[in-house]
Amino acid sequence: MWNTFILSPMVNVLIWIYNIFFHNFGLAIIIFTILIRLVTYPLTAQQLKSQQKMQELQTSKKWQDIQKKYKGDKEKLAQEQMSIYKEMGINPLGSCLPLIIQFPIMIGLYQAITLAMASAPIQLLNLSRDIYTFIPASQLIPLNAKFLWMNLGLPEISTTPLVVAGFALPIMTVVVVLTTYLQSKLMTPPSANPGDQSAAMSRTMNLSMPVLMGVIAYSLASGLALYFIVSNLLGIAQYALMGKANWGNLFGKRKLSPVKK
Amino acid sequence: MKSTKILLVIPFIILSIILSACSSTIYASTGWHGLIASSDVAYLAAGPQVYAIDLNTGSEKWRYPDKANAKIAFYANPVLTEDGKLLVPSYDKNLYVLDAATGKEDWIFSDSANRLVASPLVIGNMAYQPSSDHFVYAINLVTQQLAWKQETGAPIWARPADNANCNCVFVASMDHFIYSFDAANGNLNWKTDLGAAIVGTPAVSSDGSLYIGTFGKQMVALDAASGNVRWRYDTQDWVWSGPTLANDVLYFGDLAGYFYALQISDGSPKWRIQPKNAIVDTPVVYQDKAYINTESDTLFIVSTADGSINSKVVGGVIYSSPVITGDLILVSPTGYDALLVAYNLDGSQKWSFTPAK
Repeated sequence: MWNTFILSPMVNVLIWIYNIFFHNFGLAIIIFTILIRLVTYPLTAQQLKSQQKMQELQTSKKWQDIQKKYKGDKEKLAQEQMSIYKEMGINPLGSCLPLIIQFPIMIGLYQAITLAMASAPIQLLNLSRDIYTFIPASQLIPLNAKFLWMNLGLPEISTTPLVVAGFALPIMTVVVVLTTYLQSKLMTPPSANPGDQSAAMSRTMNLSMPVLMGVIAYSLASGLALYFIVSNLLGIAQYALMGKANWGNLFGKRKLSPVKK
Repeated sequence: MKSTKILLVIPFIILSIILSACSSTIYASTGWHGLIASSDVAYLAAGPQVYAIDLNTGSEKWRYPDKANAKIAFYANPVLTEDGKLLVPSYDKNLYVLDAATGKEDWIFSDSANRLVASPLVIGNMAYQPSSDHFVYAINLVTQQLAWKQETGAPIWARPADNANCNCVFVASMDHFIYSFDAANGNLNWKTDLGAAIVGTPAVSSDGSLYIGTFGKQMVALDAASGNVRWRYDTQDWVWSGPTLANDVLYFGDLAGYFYALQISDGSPKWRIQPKNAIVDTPVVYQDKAYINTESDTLFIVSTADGSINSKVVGGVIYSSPVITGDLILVSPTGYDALLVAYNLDGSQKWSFTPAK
């Protein structure tokens, strides 16, 4: 199931793009990421909608009242919050969906890159069976894994050009951490109550997600790090173009939307 | 506060799952076992360790390294030199030179920048080691120094071949080219584009022809002196392994599972059969039979006269070719309890080897 519906299509799309665009696998990953962003655009739009609703809710009088009323009773507060969500037709997990969707794409892409790079015999044998007949596999294989200073099928650390005092600096990992952090900050809507639980959660997520992505980018194929960076930059651009990027959050200023009644 | 802690923990649980899932795909089954045998010892390259196994008893004589190291992976056929050294290429980029009698490490050649998938060709004191870093390295085994290296356009997964009539080394690369290099200094004699990747070792005939299969679904015969193509034979699928040449007939298989016998004179087929599953290693021809392993649990024994088949179920999945030494047939399955199974020529099992933990 996974191979048929996720891995094989991903591998074939990547190789198809590679065949069209100058036999450059880095370029194929970049174009593939743009395609993924386009395909998941409805989810991103949904996420924005959910965020906006949440933001409106958090600045409403009703919400503020229950925060004060049940300040000492977390359980009751959660119950009341849930009933307000229901009442207003808000799914509190709605803004998490695009993030959750990212994980199967990430795992699929990692496997697709590893498979397409086919750096060992059994991987190449498996690849030979996964390629659709319309792709001229015998002419394309082996795919050119070189992109900038990287071998996209290997962790960047094995090919990084920056060695300082005997330590190889993982450039891509650093850029992944920075762009993930930047995106998280820009995507986080301003909170009506910076001291409340949800704001604390947002701050925690803003710190833990870049670290998580950095560890993945450092440990696995550098092609995946390239995907993260391009995906993050596209995400930032998308939010900025839609006027949803919270630049104030980045520079420490809070900007609240007017309360809708 | 509790929710904050949960939020901190969740990403790292996800990270652990992803890393463990991805890591298992990195190290699990990236190659098939390499196997050679002298008259009394089999040398088996089985992933993290190399084993020396007594052919009379099936017992372990030594293993290298003593403790498995996840960073080292041995899959190429080891090569035994005349002076008792065992050359073992590894996925950790190193060529390990061991004492074949004791398994002690003698020295390591570490110039390669990428994994070593194929075995070296050894001629006298020289070893010609192909690498995934696109280079072939000529190593003097006495001085332990690099004599020369030559670059191709892609990884090299095929053991080079040589020709007794010329002082040359034939290197098949995944860049679609086959190269002839001067064995002494590495100068290029010729190179020929075959239009698709090549991962099999060429066979060389006494009349100066070179035979090699390609991912372009062809078996190609070339003039070993000039590199000019003599004939091409279309197969059903990619040809992974090099052919075996015996009595002016080429024996080889393809990934569709077809097994071919071609006349070397003009590439005309003598017969063709389809035993079962993909064939990825070079067959062994012994007396009037060809022994092949397909990507299945079965060893196939094929009559070279007419292609009629006998089979023997072993277990696991067998990719690599059997080795015949003395009166034993050695088979090395993957994904099976035993790493090596020895059969008598009549098909009865003599012993099986499962390493002690």
